[in-house]
Amino acid sequence: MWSVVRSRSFSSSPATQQQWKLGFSMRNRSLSSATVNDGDGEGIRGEELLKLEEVETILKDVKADNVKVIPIPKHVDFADFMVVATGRSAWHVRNIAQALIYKVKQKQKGSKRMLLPSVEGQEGGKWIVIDSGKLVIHALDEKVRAYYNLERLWSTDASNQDHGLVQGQDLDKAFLKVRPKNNSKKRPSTSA
Amino acid sequence: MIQPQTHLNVADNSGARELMCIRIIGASNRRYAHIGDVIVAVIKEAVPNMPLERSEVVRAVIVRTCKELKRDNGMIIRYDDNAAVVIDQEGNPKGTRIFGAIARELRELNFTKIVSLAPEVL
Amino acid sequence: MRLEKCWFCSSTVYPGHGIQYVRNDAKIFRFCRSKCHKNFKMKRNPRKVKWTKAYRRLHGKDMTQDSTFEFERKRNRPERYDRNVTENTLKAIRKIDKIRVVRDERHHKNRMKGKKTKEQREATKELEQSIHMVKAPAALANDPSLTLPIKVKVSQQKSEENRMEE
Repeated sequence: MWSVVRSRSFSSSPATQQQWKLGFSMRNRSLSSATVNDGDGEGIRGEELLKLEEVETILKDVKADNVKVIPIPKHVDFADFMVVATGRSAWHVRNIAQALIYKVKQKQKGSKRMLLPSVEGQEGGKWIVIDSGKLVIHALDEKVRAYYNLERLWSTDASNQDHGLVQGQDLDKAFLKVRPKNNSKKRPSTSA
Repeated sequence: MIQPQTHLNVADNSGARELMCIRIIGASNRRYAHIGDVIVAVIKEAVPNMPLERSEVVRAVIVRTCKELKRDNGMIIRYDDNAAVVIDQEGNPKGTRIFGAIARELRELNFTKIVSLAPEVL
Repeated sequence: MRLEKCWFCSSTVYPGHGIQYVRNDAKIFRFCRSKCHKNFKMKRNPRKVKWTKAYRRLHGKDMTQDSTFEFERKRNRPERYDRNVTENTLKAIRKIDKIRVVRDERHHKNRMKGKKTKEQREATKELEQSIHMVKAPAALANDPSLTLPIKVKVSQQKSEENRMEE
């Protein structure tokens, strides 16, 4: 949990110092200055946590469906890219997350201090988020993906809210009943 | 400063409109909950024809508080209202969209799912 | 680090000072101190409160248009650190500040230009209108209304009144 925080503070320190020296201020909020200025700190960070290309190859290797990379608009500064991938089952979703974490660990093998991304929802297997700073990877069940509709929220900002409301009605079904049924035979046809 | 009996707005489209805190999760004798804390709440008011109903007991994460939030860099932030987002036992939000501004602290407290559904992170 | 402007009084908010208020539509109001925050909570309009920059600008007390303000603009693009640029800016800050002060003084001087003649005009007018109230000391001495007997009279009247009340 603290890994992301730690890495962020680590990368932010040179950036903030630079701003001190510059004499006049540039970034909006000081917390955001840390995250935005990571562009300079990418060299340090890129070695430790995941890169976009690596994530894509890993997702391809574990056969995640429907991988989408969404660049996050500039005015939202909590991350740069969002990767959304679908898993065929809970096990598959968990596997995707495991593969990514394994990759991070392998990359830092031998280093004194390991920086791990924060992972959320690993027990559930419906929606796992791997938050590696500037890159947020979502591994979702197909039902859950359709339910939350992350692509729609982040790709086109307009007219997503009413859509969400309509979707909100089959909340229970999405989580409880329908999943096992879909899991059985329909999935390969849709994925292929 | 959320304590039992506090009424909160709901900042998502889960179907609940107003919650009342009945318990703060995390410690046995805790007084107040702040941003990023999980509470047990009762739905006091709900939107009709939605899966969540009145007087249902749910879990929720606090996302905005009227009480000022202090950051390590000395920044003090105060929001308009007390608001929470309804989640289930696994931490998945019940609604699909979140309304209003949300504190950055949620991401550090492992609520990235909520943060990634929010329109504005401050 | 960024130096923000206070929403109410438009002074600079240094890091660690003041408070931010976030409205539900995600608009951020920054305040430099509790004074400004309290005034905001009282729903005061900064344009109508005399000590704010907004009031002074609106009423022509301060310079509003000047090229020196251009340097203080809000820039959303972070600049890469460069030693030379930093040195130059630090030098420039001092120079620009000097220029700004000079222009401010000139503005104030311009604003106060007609003040002396105006004050004199007002003084002569007052003199003309209320000259009758001024009396020479010799005339005052002769004036019966200002001499002692009347005062005694007044005291007598008072004593009479007192007696009446008794």
